Parts: sequence; structure tokens; C-alpha cells
Amino acid sequence: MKNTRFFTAALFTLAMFTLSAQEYKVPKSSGRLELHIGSVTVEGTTGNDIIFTSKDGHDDKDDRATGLVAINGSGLQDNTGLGINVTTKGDAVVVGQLQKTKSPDIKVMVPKGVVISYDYESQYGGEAKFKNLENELEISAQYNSIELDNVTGPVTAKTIYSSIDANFATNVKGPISLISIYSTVDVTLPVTLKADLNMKTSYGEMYVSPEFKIEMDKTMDKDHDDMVNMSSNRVTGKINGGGMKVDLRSDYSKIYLRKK
Amino acid sequence: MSINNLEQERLTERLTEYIDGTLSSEEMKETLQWIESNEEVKAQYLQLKEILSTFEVSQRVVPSEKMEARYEQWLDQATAHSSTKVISLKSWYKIAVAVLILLLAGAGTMTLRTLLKQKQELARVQNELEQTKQWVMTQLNNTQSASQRISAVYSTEEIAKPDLEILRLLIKTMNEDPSSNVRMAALEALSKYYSLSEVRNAFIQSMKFQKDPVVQIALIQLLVQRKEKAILHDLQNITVQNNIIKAVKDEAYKGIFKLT
Repeated sequence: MKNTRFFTAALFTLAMFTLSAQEYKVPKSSGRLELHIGSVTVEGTTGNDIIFTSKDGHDDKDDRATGLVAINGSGLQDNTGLGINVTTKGDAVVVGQLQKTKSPDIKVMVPKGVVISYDYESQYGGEAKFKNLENELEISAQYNSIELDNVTGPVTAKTIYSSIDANFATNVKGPISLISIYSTVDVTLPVTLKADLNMKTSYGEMYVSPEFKIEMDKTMDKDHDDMVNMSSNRVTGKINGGGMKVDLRSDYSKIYLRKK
Repeated sequence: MSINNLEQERLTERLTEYIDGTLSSEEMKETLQWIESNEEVKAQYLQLKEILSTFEVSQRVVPSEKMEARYEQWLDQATAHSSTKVISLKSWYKIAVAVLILLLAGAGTMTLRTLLKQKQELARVQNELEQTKQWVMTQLNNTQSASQRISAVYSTEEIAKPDLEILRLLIKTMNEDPSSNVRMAALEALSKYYSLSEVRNAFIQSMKFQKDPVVQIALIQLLVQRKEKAILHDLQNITVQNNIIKAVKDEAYKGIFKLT
């Protein structure tokens, strides 16, 4: 009897999990994935499908909308049941959200060969997380904070108002370009990385792990009369003899360069 | 009767011809009368006759056989010695000429080889540069990958003097690329060629339509550093526009303050 009750509870839990973890698949192992959604967690997968799942709880479900599909002013319809629209345009899978102010919290599993582009300009942007990825990343945001964890790159990322935190994998593939105008750029890289480093802040500060031996380039910041600007708020130099380009910029906040 | 210089010269000539018997019979008779009638002429005749007879005897001296043999021996030796020397000199000359020819030929070959090598090296470098240029131009237009485009921008650093085609493509990239990071990289790459009027004008023109705050801030900083007062009007426009973020407006205010 006890076993039967336990088995029923387990089945119920599994059913609930299945309901909440509704997913939408698109077969794709190359080309581009273009994401225009406010909050997202993107992770790598070894499969050949892009898999979308919603991390939102069941409380967010509107019973009154049962049997209807969400639509927005751009004509986008929810064709996934996840509050997002997924379409294919040429070689790209394009993902947009329907609600303007409230974006669904979406998790996307992406095969290795797909270039991931994230572009979100709205002030309602939340967190954009990218984990365990060997994909090429292009990130452009205004308000989203950007978190990169165990990614190889190459990566170009920009946010105006929020931070960029990037913990790179050991097998980094350049180039790396990370820009935040108002917030921090916090980067962790392998200390053995061979890189051409370019760090710049207009009104902020820069911190570097002393394990990075930077061979400073004093010729970079010459102005038109060939005078070297020694009080420059720019650090350019080579790490371990130079190699891939690593550009880090925070205009009003701080740049941290840590060793992995 | 005194004899002047001219007469003395003619007298000596006439007496010599008289002694030699080369005069006509009439001249002989006349000269004889002159000798017998004039004591001074007679005295000169006798002296001259004696001198000429002595000269004639000395001319007829025949060397002895011994002397002739010794002379011939000496002549043979001298000739033999002389011919050995000539042969030796001729050999050295030939050897020297041969060595010189060899050296010249060797030097010529080496010079030709060096020139050929240099030419090949130059061709290789030019070929590589051309390949880099073609790769840069292809990748700058690669809409599928921001990382490839930014890599292409970085690669322009490898081209010592990018031609106008590359510079114009960089200007286009700075103004139109969808990625702020790529635009910024293009701006930084172009800033090295600020002295070129086309590049300088492109920066000034870009102020009028650049909408990317990441680029706008860097552009204002660059042009203000270069003391370009031509952008004052554009900076004032920026300060009064509503759709421009505060960081850009602050940079514009700062620029106006520095330029006025």
C-alpha cells in the first residue's frame, strides 16, 4: 500500500514536471539562432536540435486564454506554446517574444555548430545567460545583464546599462570583445592564454590579476604629435607573447581581468 | 771677315757637304776657292774634316768575336730570362683574369640569386597581403558572423598601408555594421589613419548620423582629442536630442567644453 502511494506521488510529480517543462524543437545544427527575448538561458547540447523550454511556473498560465494564441502588434503569434514565436528566415532560426513588458523565461539548448545571436533593446530585458557553449556568440543588449559561463568564444558582447560577467573555458577561441558603458566587465581567462589585450575605461578603473604578465605597448596611444599619453586610461599589451584579440571596455565602471 | 751665326750654320753645312762630296762640281770648285781664300774657313774646314773622319772610324769599329760571342750569350740569357718573365706575367695575368671572371660570374650569380630570392620573397609577401586583403574584404561583408567581421577588422593591422578600398570598407563597417563591437573595432583601426583626409572626413561625417552610443562616445572622444572644432554643431545637436542616452550627451557636453 505504501509502495502504491509512493508510486502514484512519483507519477504525479513527473506529470507536473512534464507540463511545466513544455518544449519546442527545431532541427538545426548549423546556421544562426537569433534570439530577441528579454530573459534567456542558453546552453550547449550535443544533439542536432535547438530545444526551447519555458522555465516559467504554472502560476503564469492564463486559464481564460485557453484555446487562444497570443499575438502582438508586430503580428507575431505564439507558435510554440511557450510565449515565444519561432520562425525560420533563410539560414536563421529567429525567436521573438510576444509580450512587450513581460518576457517569458526561456531556456534554449543549442547544438555546437550554430552561431548564437542575442539582440534585445527593451528596458524590460532581464538576464541573458550563456553556459557551457562552444558556439560563436554575438550579444547586443541595452539593459540586460550578460553572464557567460564556461564558454569558449569567439564572442562579441555589448550592453549599455548592465554588467558583463564572463568566465571562459580553458580552450578559449578568440576574438573576444566585451563592452559595457555603465557597468562592470568582469572577465576570467586562463593565465596561459596568448592574447593581445586592449582594455579601456573613460571614467572607471581597471584591475588585473598579477599572474597576467602584460607586456605593455607604449606606442598605441600616440596622438597626432607623436607624444605618448602615459596617463592613458587604456591598457594595451601582449599576454604570453600575444595572440588572440581580447578587447574589454567599460566607460563608467570597472574592468576586472581574473585568472582562471 | 767675320762670320755671323747664320753664315756659320750655312758654312758648316756647306763644308760638311764638301767633305762628303755631295755637292755639284761647280759648288765643289766654288767651296774650294772659298777655303783657300779665307784662313778662318780653311781652319774650320780642317777641324770639321778631322772630326768627321774620327766619327767615321768609330762607326767602323767592329767588335771582336769574343766580345760578339759574349754579347750574344748575354743577349740569349737576357732574352731567355725576359721571355720567362713574360710567360710568367702572362700566366698570372691569365689566372688573374680567370679568377676575376669567376669571381664576377660568382658574384653575378649570387647577386642574381639574391635578387631572384628577394623578388620571390616580395612576390610572396605581396601575394600574402593580397590574400589577406581579399580575405578581409570578404569577411567584412560576412553577415553570418560578427566574430569573422571583427577578425577581419583586426587583420587590417597586418596590412602596413591599407589601400583606399580597404579604408572605405572600414568606414562603411564603422557606420553600418550591425554589431557595436565590430563598429568600434573599425573605428579604432581607422583612427591610425587619421592623417588621411578621407578618414578624417569620414569621422567628422559619421558624427552626423552615428546612432550607436558605443561608437558615438568613442567618436566624440577621438574628434575632441584631435581638436576638431568642425563637430561643435553636431555636439550641440546631440545635447538637445531626446533619443540619445545620457552617457553620449555627457560626452558631447564635455567635448563642447573642451573645444570652446
